[in-house]
Amino acid sequence: MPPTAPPRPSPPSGIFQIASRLVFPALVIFSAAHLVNAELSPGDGFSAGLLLGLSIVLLYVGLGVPAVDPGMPRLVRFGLVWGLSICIGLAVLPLPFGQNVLRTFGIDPWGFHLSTTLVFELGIFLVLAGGTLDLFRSIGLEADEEVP
Amino acid sequence: MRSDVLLALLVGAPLGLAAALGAMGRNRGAWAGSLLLAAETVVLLWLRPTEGTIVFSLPWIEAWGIFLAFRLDGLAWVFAIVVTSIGALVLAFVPAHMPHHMETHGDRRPLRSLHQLLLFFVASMLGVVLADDLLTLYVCWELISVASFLLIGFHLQDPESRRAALHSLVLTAGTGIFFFASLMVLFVEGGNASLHDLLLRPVGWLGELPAAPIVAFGILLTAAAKSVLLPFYGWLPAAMIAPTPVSALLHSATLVASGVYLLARFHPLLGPLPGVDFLLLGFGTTTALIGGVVALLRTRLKEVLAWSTISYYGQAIVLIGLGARSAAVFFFAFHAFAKAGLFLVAGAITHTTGAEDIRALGGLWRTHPALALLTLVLALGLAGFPPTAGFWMKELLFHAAYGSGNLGWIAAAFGAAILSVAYFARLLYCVFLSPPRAAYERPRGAPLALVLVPAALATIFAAGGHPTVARFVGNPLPLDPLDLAVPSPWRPYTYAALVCLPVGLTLFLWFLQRRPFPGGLDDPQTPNQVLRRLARRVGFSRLFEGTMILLGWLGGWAARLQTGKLAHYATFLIAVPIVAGLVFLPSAMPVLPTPPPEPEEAPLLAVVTITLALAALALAATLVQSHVSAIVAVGGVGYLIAILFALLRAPDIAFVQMVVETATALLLLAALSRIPPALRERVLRPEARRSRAARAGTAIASALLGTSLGVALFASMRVVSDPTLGKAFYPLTEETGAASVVKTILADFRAMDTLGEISVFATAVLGVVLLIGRLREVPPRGTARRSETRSKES
Repeated sequence: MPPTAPPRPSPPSGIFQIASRLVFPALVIFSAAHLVNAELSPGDGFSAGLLLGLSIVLLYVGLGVPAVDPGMPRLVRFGLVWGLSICIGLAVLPLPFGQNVLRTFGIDPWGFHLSTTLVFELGIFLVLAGGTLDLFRSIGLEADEEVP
Repeated sequence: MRSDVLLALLVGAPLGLAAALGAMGRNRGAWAGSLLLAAETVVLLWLRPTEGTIVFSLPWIEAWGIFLAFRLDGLAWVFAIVVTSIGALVLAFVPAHMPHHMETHGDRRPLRSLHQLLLFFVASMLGVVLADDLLTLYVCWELISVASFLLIGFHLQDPESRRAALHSLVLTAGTGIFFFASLMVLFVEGGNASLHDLLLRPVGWLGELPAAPIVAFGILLTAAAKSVLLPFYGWLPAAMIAPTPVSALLHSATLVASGVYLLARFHPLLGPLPGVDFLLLGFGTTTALIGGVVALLRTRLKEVLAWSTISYYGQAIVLIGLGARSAAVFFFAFHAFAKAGLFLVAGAITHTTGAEDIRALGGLWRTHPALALLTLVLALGLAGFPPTAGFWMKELLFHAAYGSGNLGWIAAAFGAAILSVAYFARLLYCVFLSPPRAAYERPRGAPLALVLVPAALATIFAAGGHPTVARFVGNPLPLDPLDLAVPSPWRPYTYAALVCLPVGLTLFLWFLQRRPFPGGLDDPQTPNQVLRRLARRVGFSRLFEGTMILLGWLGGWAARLQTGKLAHYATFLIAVPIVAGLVFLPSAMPVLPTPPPEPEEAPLLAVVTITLALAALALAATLVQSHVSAIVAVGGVGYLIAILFALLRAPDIAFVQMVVETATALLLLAALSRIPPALRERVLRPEARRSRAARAGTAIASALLGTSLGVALFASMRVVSDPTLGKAFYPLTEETGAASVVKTILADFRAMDTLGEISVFATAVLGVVLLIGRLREVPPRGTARRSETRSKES
């Protein structure tokens, strides 16, 4: 079975390449901010992860599959596996301390608020980003390969 | 009309006219700009502030105290009236001069664009001098840079012209970044965006701040670049490639003057800082002297004027450095009138003779007596001959220099004054008095309009010699203790100004005897090697070339950052915010005041409109005859719902809705592209295969499903949940240290749900991937590349 062999007829236009390169960092930073903001203001790992996945889909469209796809399967699996592991690990973490499952903790060093909630959200974020990307790769790339 | 609205119109009307001209025919409305600016001059004469100031203010970013604000005080008035009156005259010069000019340049564009650009430029300049708010000031300041870039590069097809435009943009807009930094520091440290308020505070408040050097550095740098001080002046002679009206407007009264305006405006703030005045004086005198020497050596008419402008702006900045702000403003105003006049005369000379080099001109006083007379008044007046305003300019310079008691500044004032007499005498001699050099292209008198416009400027300039006029223009409000000393003429400084005249003429005669028609710097015959080398060394575009090399290097570096590798991008994206956050965040966080709480109720009209649009889109989704359109319509419905959420104060849900909707639409499109077109066609048109009864059954089932779903949802909204339920989480919130109750509910109460959801999601994704048939093998570490190339080979 051949691995990804993307037969794009021609790379996307220059304008599109530049635009996606310009927009991508902004999207990533926005999604990271959205993740970190989860505690105080509107923001959560779910939509942040979805946004990150979509922004990488944008890169696929903008830069062409051959430029982005190498190494991507590994990244996708990384997101899915580690995201789930983090969430489940965090869920059972309080048990040895005699607490309930999924109990969260928070501290306030130097005026910042840190909480295990954030780590949980990070797990969700990873699952969503990886999952979205996997969906798009499996559906979108196959379709691409059918183009003669 | 209320005078504050009138003030805003001063800035807005030229912009509006520039836009309106775009809608007119090719060469219609040629006089409209001139008339508008003349009217604005009259309005300004009427608004002349004698006791109070006029303020216009419109909320812009109200939460941070930022306004679109204009204020007409004495300083602003002088600059504004000079800008509008010279703008009116220059725009009147355009229709007489430019058609011929365009013809010689082989340019067939309509002149409309030049009118529009000039009006845009005048509006932004007025914005700068009237601005009373830091952000307004900065925006107008950069608009000036943009407008001047477009004007200097007006001859688009000429590479030299484009290069000159880029040169001015790099130096003037490039330093604008530092200006922005200064203004931001002022805003943050001063806690206010109102220029008036910041400048009126007790003297020296800035000096107590640790950030004071940053503020001073940014303002001095950007003012120096605009006002062609020492290391930056290369762009001005290069910009002489622009059409004459552009040169006359930009390089006499507006673009170059904006730096002087900035320094005059901020001097009460910056002056008390140690070293600022010394910097101004040092760079000002050096610039004044170098400009004078080079003006004596250049041979192209407009370049001589350009270098003399550099010298004069050096002198104006010396006046500011000496603390004589009102003298500097007077100096600027009348220099602007005279220099605009001289530029226009130069344009008229080139217009009629076709020659630009003063070596190719001569004896024009016979053929062009009017132009000769105008040049005589303007040039000799500017050189300091009484009874024009130029004499008072020199007198004030000597007055201020003597007042400082520093021998160096006095000597520099003498040097600049003597040099100006010499190069203006040379200009007059070479162009008008010397024997004619050649037959001219069109050896006849200049068209009337080409004479009348500079004549008006010369009249204003000569009238400025009268104390009443001088005081009217130069002194609407006392700016500082050094008032205009026009009424008592016979002071020692008066004699000093007079002494310069014979000395300067002697210098010119010596120059004339040594080299009757100096070849200028580019001529290898130029005998004085030392002077030539000096002029080349101090000159021209080294700074620009250096900047361009640096920019090119930076650009190459930035391009190398674009590796195309996600891992690299990710590293930068994560590292930079972390570093910046660690460095800046703790100090920056409390700076910005939080916006006031917004009103709670959602705007009803918007909600109703969006709901109706939503219904229409949903209906459309069922009716359209193409899958792609249907997907787009469904996506539109989702986006509208997101907007509804945002309107109803649920931004988090709105955001999730937005992202999910995007993902869904994209996935649908991707899935659609997998379905063969023939199959799609069959699905789309089921009428051919299905009976009417079957279709009716489907429709009824759909309607029933939708209705019952809606009823269920609506009914669930009626269920009032126990409001005390949420209170149970208050103690838990404190215990776990979560930031809000909502978060506690989500993280502790709903966490198991979330865990379940993502497990289902991950399983579903894996299911889809497996179902589609190819679970791609993850190659072992480090072999991704190799398998990639192998697949290409096979």
